[in-house]
Amino acid sequence: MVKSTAVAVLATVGVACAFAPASAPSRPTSSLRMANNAWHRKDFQIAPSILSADMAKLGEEVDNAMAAGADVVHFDVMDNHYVPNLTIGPLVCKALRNHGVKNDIDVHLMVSPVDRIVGDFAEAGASYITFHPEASPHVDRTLQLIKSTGCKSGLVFNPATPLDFAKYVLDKVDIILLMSVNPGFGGQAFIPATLDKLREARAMIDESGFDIRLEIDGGVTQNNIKEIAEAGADMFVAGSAVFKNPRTVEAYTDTITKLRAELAAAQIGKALQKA
Amino acid sequence: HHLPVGIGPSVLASDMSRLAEESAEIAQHFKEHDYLHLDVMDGHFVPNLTFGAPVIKSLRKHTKATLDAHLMVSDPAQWVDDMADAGVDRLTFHIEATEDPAALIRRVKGRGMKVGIALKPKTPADCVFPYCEDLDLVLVMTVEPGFGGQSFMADQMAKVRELRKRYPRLSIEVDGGLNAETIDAAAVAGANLIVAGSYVFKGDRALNMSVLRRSVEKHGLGLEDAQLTPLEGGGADQ
Repeated sequence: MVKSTAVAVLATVGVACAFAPASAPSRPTSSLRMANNAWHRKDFQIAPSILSADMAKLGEEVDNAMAAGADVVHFDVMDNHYVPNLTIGPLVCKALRNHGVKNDIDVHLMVSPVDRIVGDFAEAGASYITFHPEASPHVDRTLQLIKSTGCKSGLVFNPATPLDFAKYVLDKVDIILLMSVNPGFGGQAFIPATLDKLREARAMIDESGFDIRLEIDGGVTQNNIKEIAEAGADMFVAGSAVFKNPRTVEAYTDTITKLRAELAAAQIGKALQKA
Repeated sequence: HHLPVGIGPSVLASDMSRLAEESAEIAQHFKEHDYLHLDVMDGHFVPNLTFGAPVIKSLRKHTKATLDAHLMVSDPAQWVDDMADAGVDRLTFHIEATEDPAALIRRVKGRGMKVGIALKPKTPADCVFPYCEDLDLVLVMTVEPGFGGQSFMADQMAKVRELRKRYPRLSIEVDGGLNAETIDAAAVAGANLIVAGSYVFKGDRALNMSVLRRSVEKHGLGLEDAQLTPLEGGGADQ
């Protein structure tokens, strides 16, 4: 493993985690307080979830989705203990890297306990590792563990889970992921109350001044992505919206182009105007 | 014994980003009783997490090969329906993972699947005796399940011999570290279903499958050399 500075690792896109020095990287406490409406400083990122892909042709499906204009591979890991389904493990992540996938791989751990598998995924080539605060008895420690491998860290919030869990660790999270369905299965409908939660999370992130992505997963489609962006999300997981028949790069390009068109039309300032 | 000889390549050793292609490729070398061995691990029964029913369901769409699922999960009963729906042909669960093997056997068969029971290395053979008459196979693990890169445990052959002697018509599967060096011991002891991972997928696939097959034919079925299935693949003319 090549040792590199934490900053260099975080700035690199699509490269497997290297082991960073022992101390956690310092957070940029930049002046991200937005004066007016221009607080979406990041590009919107589209992260297709392979849960809905043809799992027997993962390399091809991921290649097609990325060629179609997606940014990041969203990897749903379920161990049938934290959620009632069993999907894929580190071996599959490694297979994708060996296949040649260079995009960031965004690993969402719906497993309990969490710590043991963090190292396995870092070694397998994960770029981001997110987990549920209910699944780890020591959330702060697990976040530090993830960051120590050189991966970006994140917390995932089930529909009923309050955002409070992030309150004291905002300096250690790179991503906050809100679930807009109950995790376990693809193809569910977006829970509307998540929009308010997104607004709350957006305000919390902006108030903190930290550089944190706000990710959304669950029932995101062309019909709601604009509203979701306006509520504050800047990273969008889409499973069945992207990976559906016909499974061709042309069809995926069409879908992602339409998603981006909706995002381009989103009026970002709206969220700030809500009381 | 006169049982069918089956070689079961383990897909964990294949390129998991191209499962459909890998399965099609290996199945070209399949004889009647060969199968794809699917190691399902949930990170709890064993400290490794591999894949579950969704992956198997996708694979089923792309292959006609027999799908043999080995469930290293802490609650196998929960998986019967999902595995059946995913298209599994044969389901093996661990005796250590359930309190009521008899009920589980009935459920698996009730969903139209063949059924097997697996034993971890430290589990004695007599644990499975009460169920052998109702099983399609017993799987004797020849490594500790869940960890990679282990060596074949020759001491497990005593278990294979014991089962073979008591149940001459029972298929006995072995899984863990099977290759050219270890196959003879397993074949002599009486195993007729052979799971192999890297030995098959990462070598000359056709050749290595036939090496395993010939050993069981010779030492298990007692065939003469001239009657053995010919060597295939790159080594065929050696």
